[in-house]
Amino acid sequence: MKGLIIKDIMCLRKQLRVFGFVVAGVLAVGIMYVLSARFGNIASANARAIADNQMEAFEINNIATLALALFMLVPLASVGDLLNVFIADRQAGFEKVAGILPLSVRKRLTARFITIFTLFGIGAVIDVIIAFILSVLTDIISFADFVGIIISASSLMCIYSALVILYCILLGKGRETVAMILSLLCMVLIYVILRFNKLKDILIAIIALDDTGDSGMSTDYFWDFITFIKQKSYILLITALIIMAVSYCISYVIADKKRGVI
Amino acid sequence: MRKSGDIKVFGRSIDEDSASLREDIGVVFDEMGFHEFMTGRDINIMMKNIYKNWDEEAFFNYLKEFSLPSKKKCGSFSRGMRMKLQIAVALSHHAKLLVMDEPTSGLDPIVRNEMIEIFRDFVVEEDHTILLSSHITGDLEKIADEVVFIDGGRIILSGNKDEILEKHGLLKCRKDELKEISESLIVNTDHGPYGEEILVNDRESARKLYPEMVMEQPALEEIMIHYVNRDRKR
Repeated sequence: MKGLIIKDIMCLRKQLRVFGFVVAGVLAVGIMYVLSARFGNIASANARAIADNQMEAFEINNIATLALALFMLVPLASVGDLLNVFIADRQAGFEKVAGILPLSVRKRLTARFITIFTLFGIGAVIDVIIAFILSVLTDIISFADFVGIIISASSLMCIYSALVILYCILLGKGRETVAMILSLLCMVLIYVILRFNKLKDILIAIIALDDTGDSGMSTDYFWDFITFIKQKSYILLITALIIMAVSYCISYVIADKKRGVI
Repeated sequence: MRKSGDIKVFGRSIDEDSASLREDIGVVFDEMGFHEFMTGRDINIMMKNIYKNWDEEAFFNYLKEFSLPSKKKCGSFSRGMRMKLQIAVALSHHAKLLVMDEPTSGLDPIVRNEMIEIFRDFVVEEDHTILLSSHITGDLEKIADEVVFIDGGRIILSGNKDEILEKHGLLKCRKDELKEISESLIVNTDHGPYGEEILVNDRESARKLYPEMVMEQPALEEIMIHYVNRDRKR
């Protein structure tokens, strides 16, 4: 099983080489951003916005949080694009080799899931290091909130990857792009179903457009979302673990029925 | 896809514990299934973490023996080198059974000969077996003990190769002599430019019965073609 994980990581070797540059870039841009938000142009622009009553302090804080959250997402997204493994396997015809290895379907599937955990684990650890450095330099966001964002981002990436694996196995080889689109659609759909009432209210308010617009509902909703990913990341983590477990079980049943095609 | 029946390898059903059975089976495909960016060293790292019996030293010795560079990406290998790489992998976990799909097709005669030598060395060990599918009957003639001819998914002839070669004969005669030959001996008749060519299933009997006719030893390929032609005429 370890051999397959090594092989998967070898497939991502080129991607991992780029990862070093991505981390360095994110760290550099992150430091520039937090320093500017504290002492530079961003700080003075924020001060002006507050003085002119264009924005409130918490909104500025939320915008900064969002920018830093996006920075945190970049290393995770660049390290864990598992589609490349599926594509590389298909191009090489590796499924034939995999089929003759002395590994059960369960072990082969477990190897793929461990690869995701390992990669996101690496991404998350590096993110935590970046977050620690940035949190020392800024008072906009605490280290604990940073960790919350990292857990949320890792959880979302794990959900996405679990769905990609499931769809790749279900749809068969050569359908990796469809699997990716379906996974993203699934995630959006689950979110819409879970937050249907709130989203419906916002939509009605936007459609009913009057002078007051949607009365700030969408902005409030967005700020609530930012607070959620900072402070309630454990909910996303639990969801990710459940989805990964479900994806693993369904993928196993499908792969077993397809005589071990993973 | 298996529709019915039971498949046994080394006396064990493949449904029992197919994963552990595969420790003793090496497979060589007509196309290499390794990623093109992989080097011999990469394959060694991967395989030593998969096969319990992986013999790292043997693998690198095979690479050396087959003149395969261990640091070069296998995507740049020729077809012959790719086949040799697969064989090196199959042999390095001390497989007892080698299953090969067209291992010599598309190879030049020198490399083909080298491959056959490798197969011969492998089957020297008493508990070693090779199961190979090939359209190149000349190769089968050199190494096979048992052969099974399959045409359109049907087995048309099977048995010990030497017995098949010993039993069959190619009888050459004129068209008017054809009627004299017992039908029970005839497998198939082909009309050639210089007369009739008949594959008989009992060479010795045919030789005794028709001493005036020319009897030749057929090659495995000729036997196969006659059997296929006979079946297609039916």
